[in-house]
Amino acid sequence: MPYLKRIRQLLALAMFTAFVLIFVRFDSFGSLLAATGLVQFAPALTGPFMWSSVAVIVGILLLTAVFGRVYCSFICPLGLIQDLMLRLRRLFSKAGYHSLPALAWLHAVIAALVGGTWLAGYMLPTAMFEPFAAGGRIFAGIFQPLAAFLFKYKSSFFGDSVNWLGMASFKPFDMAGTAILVGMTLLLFFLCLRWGRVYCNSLCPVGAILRLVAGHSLVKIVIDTEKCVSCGVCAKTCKTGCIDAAARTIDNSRCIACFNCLDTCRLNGIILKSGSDRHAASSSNSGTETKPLLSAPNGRRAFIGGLAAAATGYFLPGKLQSAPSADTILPPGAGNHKDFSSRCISCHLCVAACPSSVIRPSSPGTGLRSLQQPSLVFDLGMCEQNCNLCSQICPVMAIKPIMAEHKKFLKIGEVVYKQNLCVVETNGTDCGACAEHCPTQAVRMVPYRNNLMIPQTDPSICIGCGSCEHICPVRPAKAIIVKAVAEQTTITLPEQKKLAPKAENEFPF
Amino acid sequence: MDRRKFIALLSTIAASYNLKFPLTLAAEETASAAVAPAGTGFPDLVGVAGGTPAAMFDRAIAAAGGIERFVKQGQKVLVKPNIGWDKKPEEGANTSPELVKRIIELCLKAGAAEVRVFDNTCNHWQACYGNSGIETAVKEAGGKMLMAHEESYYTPVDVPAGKVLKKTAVHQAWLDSDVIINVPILKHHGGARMTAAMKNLMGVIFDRRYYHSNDLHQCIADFTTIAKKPTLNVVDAYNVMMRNGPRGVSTDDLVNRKMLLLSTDMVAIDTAAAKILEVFPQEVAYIGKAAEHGTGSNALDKLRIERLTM
Repeated sequence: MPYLKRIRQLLALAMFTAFVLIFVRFDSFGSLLAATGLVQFAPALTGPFMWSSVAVIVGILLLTAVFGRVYCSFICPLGLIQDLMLRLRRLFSKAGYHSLPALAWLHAVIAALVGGTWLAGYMLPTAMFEPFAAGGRIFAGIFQPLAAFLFKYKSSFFGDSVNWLGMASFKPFDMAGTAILVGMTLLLFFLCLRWGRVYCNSLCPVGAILRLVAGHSLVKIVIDTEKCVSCGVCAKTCKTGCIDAAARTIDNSRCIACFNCLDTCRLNGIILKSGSDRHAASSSNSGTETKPLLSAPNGRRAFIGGLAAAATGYFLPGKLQSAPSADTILPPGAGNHKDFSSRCISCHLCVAACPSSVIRPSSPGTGLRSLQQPSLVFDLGMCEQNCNLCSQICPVMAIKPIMAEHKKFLKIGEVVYKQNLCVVETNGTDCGACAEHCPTQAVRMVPYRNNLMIPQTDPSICIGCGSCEHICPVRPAKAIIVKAVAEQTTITLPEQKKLAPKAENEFPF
Repeated sequence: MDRRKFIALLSTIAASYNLKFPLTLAAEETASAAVAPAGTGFPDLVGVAGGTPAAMFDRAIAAAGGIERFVKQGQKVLVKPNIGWDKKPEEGANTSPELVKRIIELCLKAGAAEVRVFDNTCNHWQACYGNSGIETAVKEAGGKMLMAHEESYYTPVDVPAGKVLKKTAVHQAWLDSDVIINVPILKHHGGARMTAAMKNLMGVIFDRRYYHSNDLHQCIADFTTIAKKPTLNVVDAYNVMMRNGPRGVSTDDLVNRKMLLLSTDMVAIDTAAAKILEVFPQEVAYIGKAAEHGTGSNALDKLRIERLTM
């Protein structure tokens, strides 16, 4: 049935293209998010309770119960990235894949450890192992800056008129964040080269959950023991190494439904069976590895190990770092550091979507609890007053939805003015760049000596948008900066006196 | 040869020496257009009051000799409005889109080969282009929006007569257009006191922070000495932001003045604009500094001013 593999490739390619478009050009293709981001397992599971999330989880579980782990081959962004890596692998090596051990025990322990830390509100392990976030970070941290770099330096390719398609706002590679990301991507690439999609059956928490269901799926790939001669041709095409040719068994809990093996057997010994033939299927699948994860004796060990790991994950991180750093400026709608840090899975969708590139992965200096979670840096732009994109798209609502009108007055930080560094003070010349950009006049210019004007701040009406910090021309340290606030609040602008209308048609010159 | 002509000639020679592309001819033409000698029969400054921005422009341009005086068949025109902020037209932070639209329509009617529009915005450029209504207006009128947010669109240019600003990167479209129509909106400005014609030219260069950290007023005045100058300036003073500028906090900051100014002289038009804004022109330091440079005249009493009401 070669068409199954082709269908898988086409759909996966469409999904992958959608991811690239979303993460590289959110402004034009953000609407595709509904078709990709919202059908992801982990965001639906870790986000706040919503019936739509329940529908996604039940939907994916049902899909798995019927067809096996098609999520892993059709929908999962990290799965698609790995398949791309495996395409690259072919350039290096013609060798096939090997049969791999089930690793059920290890997989359960890792998934439980991650789950435990998630329940305790310590998100770094989830962010690192969960495939939607890991895939998102690769798109946002590598693909998008590359596209932006090409555009910035090769923009003449795109002509001189407004080319909305070719344009990507400038996204920087930041040293630490990119290093971590490239390191993890290379590690994944290495795993792929060596063992195929081993991540999916040893490290991936979503894989661990789907694995429990996939072993019992209605439709599954089985080996016809009557026809099989244990030649191993099929096993060489299996990216997860779940075919044991010698034992003539397939571990369906690990099969990711890529259908690569289906048309390899010239004896028709490997076939897709539906549940109606369950008897035939189980008779040909008597190996222990096809048994579900929780069956004895591996299952019991996995269960106990998983419980211990979950407990460790739940209690240990709190001992290492009790609270997230309070120094980062959070995206508008994040509330406070504790809430945000315990919800954000670091998928970097907001990083990719932020039109002014102020939302960026936190640097390692902010501590492990906020590592890779987004925070605001104003060197490339300001948090635009009329923009609430990040709050619209956060898949786990770590950035809660806020109305655009409310966002204009949402205080995410507070201004600190350092007069001793200011141009007006040091050079004795007018500047006013900060006040000029301030949307609420929390920074305004007041008369100063020698007919100069100097900034004066009113932190009570500052929304912390960073406009002043962004535009301040003083280097290396800026004369006006925004510091973090403990809790995001709403400011109220003071009433201003109405201006008197002017007589019409009277020229003052 | 008077002082203005001399400076124009000097900067033209200097520019032709420094620029790497064949701009000399265009620069000479625009330089001479910018300092059109008295006695052409046209007023130095036209003020119109009482109409819509587009209608007032029609009156003003007619009084100044018609668009054909400035735009010739086959020329490339640049229209430079203020699109600095992510604000709606009624918020008075950007040039009125209907005015921009009318100017482009007239230019194309006069035979312009193409009319291009850009601004190096303060807020995110796509939001500014879109929400200001200018992108739509330009498209409807048959003009072309250009991007201006990346350094690669800018070419370094020497400013030989500049006192502080010696070199700056200018948008390519500014350099390769035959005719430039500068269309600022008049506003209060926290840093520069006022923004109108000369301040609007900060949107055609890339590095504004250099201005801010190296005597803002002198840099604004210095830039007016480059060879390539606006052929025509049109100040939109329909809704005037009298405080909290240039961004504005709310529409309470606006006063509806229903005025429009038109002149080839940036200094003269800014001096008149200051009076509409109720600011002493002497307090807006760049006006005096630009007059010293010979960019134009701030002595309104010595100029021929046509005042029209509708």
